[in-house]
Amino acid sequence: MSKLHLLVCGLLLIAGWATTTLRAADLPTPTVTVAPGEEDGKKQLIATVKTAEGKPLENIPVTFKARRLFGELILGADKTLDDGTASVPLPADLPGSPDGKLHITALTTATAKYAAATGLVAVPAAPMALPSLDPRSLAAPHAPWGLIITVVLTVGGVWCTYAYIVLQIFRLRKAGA
Amino acid sequence: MSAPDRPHPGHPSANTGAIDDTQRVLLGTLRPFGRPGWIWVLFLLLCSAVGLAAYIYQMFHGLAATAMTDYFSWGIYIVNFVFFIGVSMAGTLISAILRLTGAPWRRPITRLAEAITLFALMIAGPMIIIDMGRPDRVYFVLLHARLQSPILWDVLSLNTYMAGSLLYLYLPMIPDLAILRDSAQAFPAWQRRLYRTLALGWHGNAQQHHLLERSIAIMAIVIIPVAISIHTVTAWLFGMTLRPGWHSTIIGPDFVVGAIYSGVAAVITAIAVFRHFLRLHQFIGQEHFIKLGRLLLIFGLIYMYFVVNEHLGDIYTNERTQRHVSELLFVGKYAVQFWFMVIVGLVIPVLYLACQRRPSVGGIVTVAVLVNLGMWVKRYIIIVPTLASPIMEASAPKSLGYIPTLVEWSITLGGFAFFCLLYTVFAKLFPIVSIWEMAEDKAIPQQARQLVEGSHV
Repeated sequence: MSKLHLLVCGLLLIAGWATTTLRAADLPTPTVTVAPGEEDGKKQLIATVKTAEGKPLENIPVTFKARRLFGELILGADKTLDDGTASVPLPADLPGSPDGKLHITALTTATAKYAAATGLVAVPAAPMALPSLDPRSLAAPHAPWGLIITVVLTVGGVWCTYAYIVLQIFRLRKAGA
Repeated sequence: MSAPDRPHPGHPSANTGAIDDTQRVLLGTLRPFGRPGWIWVLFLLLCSAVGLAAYIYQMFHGLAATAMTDYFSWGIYIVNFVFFIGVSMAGTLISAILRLTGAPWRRPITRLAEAITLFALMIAGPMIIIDMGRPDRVYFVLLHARLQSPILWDVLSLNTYMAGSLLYLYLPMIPDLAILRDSAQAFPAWQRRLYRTLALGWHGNAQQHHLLERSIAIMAIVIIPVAISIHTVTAWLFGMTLRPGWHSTIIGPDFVVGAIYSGVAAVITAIAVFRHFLRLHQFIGQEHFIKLGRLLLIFGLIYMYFVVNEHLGDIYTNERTQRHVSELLFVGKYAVQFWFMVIVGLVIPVLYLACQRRPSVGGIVTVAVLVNLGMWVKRYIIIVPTLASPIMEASAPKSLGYIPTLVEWSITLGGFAFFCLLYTVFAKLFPIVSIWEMAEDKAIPQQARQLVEGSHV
């Protein structure tokens, strides 16, 4: 393959990438709102997808995720109805962050007509149960008093004995003078 | 002469003909090196230099120069650390316990054992710093100290044990230092000055004798729990993690027994070497080896019991992560090392010592060397197979392995060579067998000695 062929291929690739990127950037971004709701006595998460002009969008895939400590937990996925809403059940036993909130993200998938979009909401939820006892491991902010006293007494006791022996060594020297 | 005014055997005026002979022979071991001695010292210096050069290389290139990775955060530096900590147990056991129980046969070997403790600790401590990879940050351990961390417990207990071992080695040397100070032997001026300073004006009067005996007795009592603590805390470095193979309630006693087992083997090896090269046959006889061999047998059997305890529960419960470690050890990647430790380090020595009524010196020394080899390998298989069994397997590479690099082997060689060098230099500066304790032994009337030996041996 000649250098000219390589150059043409390269230019085509760049042109293709630029076109795709520009096309994606040119697509309109819908607005996504998420809110908690209730259906048949069960908690739901309802996302509403609309155009910038407020027209509901139908058949848009929406994925619902809850923020966890090390990432996001997928709660479910649905497609919007003719009123632009998609919903998934909200697990009743899903604990929130220590501030008592469950941070939900509704994410729409990009389609041929619309770019991807995200909606966020913080739903009140029972905070994660913290251990009733003080943390006892390395993660504890301070060493427990029991440990401090034990270490100081044992190590201190041994070093005091050493100090006494050093004193005896000085006395021994004096006794030989 | 009344008892309080009795000159201490360390005082020249207390010498009899037999004591003079003891003194002459032991002072003779301090003569300058001959040609073989210098070749040995140069060899050790060369090996130490190789280790130092490897460490400098590691400092420039970081821990990437080693085979340690995010999964194998500990390697043979920690193997060496645990091994030398184990060897250091010897001094305490042989010297302190036998001193407290009044066993007279300990006299020629106590200083050999006490010196092992100090020199082993002098190698063990730096191994941690070498493993850390950033020696310039060592002070962070104290600056950001967290008392909850077993690492800090280890720093505290290691330094406490080292200070105690230094005191415990020094105290019984004082009368010998006075003998060296007063001897007619031609020492260089700096050496004589060293003896004069360290002898602390010892003249062996009753008050000095009383102070010395009391200090030695106190240190003999204190050093035993301190020694047990360092081995237990070292075990807790492993046991306080939720890792298979480490998180065990018996890991503390397991380490203590293993340390005594390898420590006794190290003492046997050391006294055999010094007995041969310094011609100490008249002080260290076959009986010493037989008695130490019996100790080795007892602790070998106890250690077997611990090894069975350690693995039986894991095999029986068959918990997933524990099972992985057991498989690696029994039939997997580390089976060769595991069975080497079991057969060479435990079964052969124990069978040999148990089956021989009066084992030969050569036989005892051979099994002691095998125990040392087996126990080094044991420390390797404590550390590496567990690290090869990560808790979060999903993110681990398919095959986890650790093969030490040339840099790590060179530093290990340097560590062992420097240990031998310290011991060699010590034996040329100070009598490796306590002159005054041997003299005291000879000063005891034969009949009284028989009574003493009958009640303690």
